[in-house]
Amino acid sequence: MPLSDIGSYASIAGLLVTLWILSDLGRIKSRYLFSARVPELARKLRTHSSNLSAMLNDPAANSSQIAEELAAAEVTVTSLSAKVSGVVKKSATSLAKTIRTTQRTGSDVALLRDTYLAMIKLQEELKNLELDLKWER
Amino acid sequence: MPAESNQWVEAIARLTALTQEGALKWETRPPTGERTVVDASYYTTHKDRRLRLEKRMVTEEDEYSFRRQVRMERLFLEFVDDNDNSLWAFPRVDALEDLYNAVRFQTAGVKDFLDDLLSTG
Repeated sequence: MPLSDIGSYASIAGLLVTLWILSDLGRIKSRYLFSARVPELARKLRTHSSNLSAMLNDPAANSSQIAEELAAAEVTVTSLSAKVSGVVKKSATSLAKTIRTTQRTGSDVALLRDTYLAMIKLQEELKNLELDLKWER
Repeated sequence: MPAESNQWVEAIARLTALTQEGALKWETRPPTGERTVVDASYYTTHKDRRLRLEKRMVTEEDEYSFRRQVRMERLFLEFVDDNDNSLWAFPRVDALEDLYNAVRFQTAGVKDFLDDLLSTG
């Protein structure tokens, strides 16, 4: 085999190895980002849902605090949706949308309860995802 | 998320909503039996089913070491019979803590207290 052919094969192999390393680096980066930030954001989400639930004991008296809590929750959920993928990302994006709708409609208790439910469902999804990743390591 | 797990989260959120709306009335009773209950036991009846909610001290394996055991507080929501025997316990989900807080808020009469206090000035 001529030396130039060997060189061509070697550069193709090198390119494939580079692509494989790049994809693996992306995977490592997203896993690192997940481990570093997602548990903290999940804890924040738990605090938001817990506060919202407590405020729903008397929604009329807590309307201004509810608005503040929803605004803070939207920031957390939007940040979360950028750091996860698949089904969990879909749920986080949908929750962010629900929070925005709830904010626009004011203190509709039924919508607030739907938002709370979507929050606690997302928390369970995050818990399952964390457990899955623990086994992958 | 498995559909089954979703179902328990929805059921507990529904119980919390019914409690907060006053449609589900809980009563406090001193703990009975051998269980190590933190504060009181809370009982209610929903669609002819008796439910008991309690925070108990339990000993469990440490999450980080299988050889070590730790004492911790855990919430239990169970169906009970007329003699307070546990028939079945709901799976552990974070939403149980919110139900527990809503039940304590109701049984302590916090809303009535606040309404009364704020209306009298």
